[in-house]
Amino acid sequence: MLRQSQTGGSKRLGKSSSRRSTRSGMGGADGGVNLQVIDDQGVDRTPRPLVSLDPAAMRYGAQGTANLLSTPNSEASEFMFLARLPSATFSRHGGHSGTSSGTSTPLSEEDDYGTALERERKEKAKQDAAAAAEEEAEEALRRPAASAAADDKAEKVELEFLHEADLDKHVYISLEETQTHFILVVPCVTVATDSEEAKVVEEANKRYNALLTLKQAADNYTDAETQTLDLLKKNREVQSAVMRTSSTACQATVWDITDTYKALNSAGATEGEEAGAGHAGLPSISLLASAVGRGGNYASAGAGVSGATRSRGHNSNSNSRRTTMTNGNELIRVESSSASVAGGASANGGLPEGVPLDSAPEESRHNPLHRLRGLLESLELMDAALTQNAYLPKLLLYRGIQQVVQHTPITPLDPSKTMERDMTGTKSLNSGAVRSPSRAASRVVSRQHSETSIGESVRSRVPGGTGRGDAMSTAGGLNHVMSMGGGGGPGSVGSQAPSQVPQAGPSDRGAPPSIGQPHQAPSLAESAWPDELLQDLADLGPDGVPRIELLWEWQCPLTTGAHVSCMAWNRKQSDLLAVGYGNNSFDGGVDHAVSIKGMVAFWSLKNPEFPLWSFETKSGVTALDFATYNPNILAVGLYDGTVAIYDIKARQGIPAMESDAATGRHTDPVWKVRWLDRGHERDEPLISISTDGRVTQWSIAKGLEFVDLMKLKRVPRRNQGGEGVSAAAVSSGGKAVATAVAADHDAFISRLTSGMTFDFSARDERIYIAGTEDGWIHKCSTSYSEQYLESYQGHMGPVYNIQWSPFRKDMFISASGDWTLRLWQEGRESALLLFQAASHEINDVQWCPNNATVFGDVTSGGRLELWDFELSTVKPVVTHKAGMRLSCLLFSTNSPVVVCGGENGAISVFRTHNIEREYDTLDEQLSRLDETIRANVMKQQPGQMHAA
Amino acid sequence: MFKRPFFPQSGIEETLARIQNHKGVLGTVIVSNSGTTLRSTLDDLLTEQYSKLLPSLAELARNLVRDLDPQNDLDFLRIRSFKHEIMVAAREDFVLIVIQDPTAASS
Repeated sequence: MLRQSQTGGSKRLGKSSSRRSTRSGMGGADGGVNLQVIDDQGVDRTPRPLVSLDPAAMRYGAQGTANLLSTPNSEASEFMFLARLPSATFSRHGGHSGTSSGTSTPLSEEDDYGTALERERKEKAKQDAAAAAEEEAEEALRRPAASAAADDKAEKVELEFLHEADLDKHVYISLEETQTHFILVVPCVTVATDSEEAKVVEEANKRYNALLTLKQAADNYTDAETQTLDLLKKNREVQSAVMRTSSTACQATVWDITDTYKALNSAGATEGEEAGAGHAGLPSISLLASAVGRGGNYASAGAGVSGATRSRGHNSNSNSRRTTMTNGNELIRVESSSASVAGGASANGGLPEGVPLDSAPEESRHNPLHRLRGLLESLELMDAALTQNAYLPKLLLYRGIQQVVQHTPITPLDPSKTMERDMTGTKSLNSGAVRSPSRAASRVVSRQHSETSIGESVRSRVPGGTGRGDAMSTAGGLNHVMSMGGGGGPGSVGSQAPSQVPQAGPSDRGAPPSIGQPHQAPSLAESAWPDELLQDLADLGPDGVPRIELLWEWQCPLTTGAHVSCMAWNRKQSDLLAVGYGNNSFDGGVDHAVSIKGMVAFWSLKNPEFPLWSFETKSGVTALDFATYNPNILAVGLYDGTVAIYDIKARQGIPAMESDAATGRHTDPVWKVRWLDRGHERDEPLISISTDGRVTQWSIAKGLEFVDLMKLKRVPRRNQGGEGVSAAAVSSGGKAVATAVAADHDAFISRLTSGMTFDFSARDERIYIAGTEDGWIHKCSTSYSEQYLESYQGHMGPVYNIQWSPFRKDMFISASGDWTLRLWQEGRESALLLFQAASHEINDVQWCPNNATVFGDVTSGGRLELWDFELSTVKPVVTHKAGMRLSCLLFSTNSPVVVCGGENGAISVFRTHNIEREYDTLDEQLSRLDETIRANVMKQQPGQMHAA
Repeated sequence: MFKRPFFPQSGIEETLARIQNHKGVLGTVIVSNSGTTLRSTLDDLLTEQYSKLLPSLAELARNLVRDLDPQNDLDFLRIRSFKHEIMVAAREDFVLIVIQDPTAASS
């Protein structure tokens, strides 16, 4: 209707949208009086008839009425007929008298009605396509501008196949007001009564009023009634399906939004890869829905949005409402689509029909547990939580946190219990808990000492080489001594400890060690003591006496039977210990040993009963080390000579890099690997040493590249060490010299000697010392690959490990298969101090990281020994018998803990008590070390002089 | 030496067995997010109770955690009662519940 009203009279000239058409041509064609109203701008303002009537249409209408009447059942004809009657009447009545400008075209009117008819028909759609009035309509369509007809036609065809989806299409209808035309405008003029113009205006008004009265009687003016056309309206009832509405709502909490954005971001990152997938439609919406739907995990699957959101029960932050007018089918479709919008939850959540989410192995696909994402991680977490419940007291002890004991009556401990050597966890745990108050008190005392007067009481006893006594609190001391008295021997409680302990001092100093025979156990007064007594003193002494306590053993069914060969703490995560397993017993010959597989396991405090991860290696592991600046990089040395680099973050059991025969693989077992920390700016090379005599530097920057730093050459063994063993003589390397030297002694089978261990100096990163199988220790520099800087002689067996002191940068200690440990200093070719406790090969030695005079070693006889040569150079302060061959030992870097491993695959974790001195300053440590060494070297000096 | 198949610990079943063998563990229940019990070592009555009650609590706890900080998420939930410690690991797909008697575990 709107369209009709605004297009009246202009149809002939084309499209209905052209509203402002001139009528000049039309008037001429009609042959009537052509009155035109032109305004100031020359725009045609001729008023248009309310109904446009065309003479041609009149003609047509006259004859067409009959036609139309002949088809009364046609809605179209009925409509047209009704429509035409008043217009015809109206045209006869005319508009204003005397003007014939109202003449208009019935044709265009019929066109209008025809169009309306068409629209009507469209709404009715299919059934009356073949109605009798069709030809009328067709004709009407054909006659107006062809384009309009074509448009309608096309539209009609299109609408015939109107798809349901089209109902969702947006159709824009803009409603506008028709332009207002002014024919006569008399603006109101207001003037002041006292002005000059007022008179003129009043005069004019009077004239006008007179005119109005005159007009009543004038002939020229007649009153006539006229009728305006009431726009045709017809009520029509149309049946349609009930309007049905469905509403969907979703809500988002803050974290839904977070998740959605995260999902969108990650989806945006992977969008390129997933292009062309089936769900290309609206990825963002489905993602959003799946993220939103996450909250409704426990709603039954397929409940759709409402179900999912209801379970949330939150206030809704956003509501989207969607109203749809549809028939039944449509409604179902909408519901299903809304369900799929909510789909994320139902599709993923519906577990039985869900897609397999994990790339689980084929054979376990049927197990529903394998479909659960993250189950394994959760299980491991649970495992760790369970073990932590069980290990909590020990973990606290590991960290050095004292347990709070609510009420502990101070009673003498049961002697039989405390005397027990066997350090099973529970017993020592109990005793530790009971004793803790007194220990805590003594700790406070000792702390005060060291802070205020630099431990006068401590220092005063140092020269005696006896107990440190820094924590000889009365309660604790008494407590202990009483218990010791029970098992140790007769004697008054109060006097036993003071009388016996100082005894060791003078005797230690007074009796010179057996001169010239360093390997022999010195016969001292101290060693005359009953071994038990000493052991007891060491194990469960009062506060202040060093002792160790077994916390737990890192072992699991995986590792039983394997031999622990090496260990390394992670440099970043100090609680993560990488352990290399291999079989170094070589029972079946070398070939057999090479072919036996090894393993690396990663133990942590999180789960003392199961490693975090482990992987297998093709040969036994003999060495490993974590890199400093890339703590996820692990270097592994294997028994077959391979050096392999693993990235443990990737958690793949295959090495990231590996040396093979072409890339410098060692031909013999790799005994030690170590990353060389040269600071942040420079890369971190890996150094390895092997029995084949090569000290090799590896770079992982571009593949695994190697440089041989040194080929360790054999040094002729001499009867006596001395000046003759100079670096120059050793490494002048020429064949003549070698043979000349060798002529006196045994001939070389191989010119190269076997490297067993090395350590880089903290003072100068180019300097390192290398221990060899023939007992020599060589100081080398990375700058010279041909000659040794210094050589240290003394060991009669292979040097198994060697380490620079963490405090004195020019001292190092070595452990050897000749049952001895030796302390060396740069520039001195013979050892400063020599330690020997038992007749076993010593497999490993490590300095205590925070006590300058303490180191630990393990022997193949199964003894774990902790030495404090401030206290004694002849007996370790702590000895623990493991009952099996021990191969390696490590002090924890962040806790008072020492770990050792051996033949049975278990790594024992010991808490040390009164060993570490983490509160001493560096100067204190150094002076203590120097003092001790001076005192001890003075004792041994005569012997060394004699030996020289 | 390493005769057994490698990486046995990567198996879900093995880890489950390990958990069950810990000291003081009374039962393990795995409930899927649709509410069905996938695995349980408890009797039917207890299983039903646990699998009905705990997932909703875990969800509540998760809501709390996420409401406090949307970028955070619930990792692990421990309920220490006089008799038991109930440990819940709630994930998108499932809820893993382990009931432990802590006194038996630490002794």
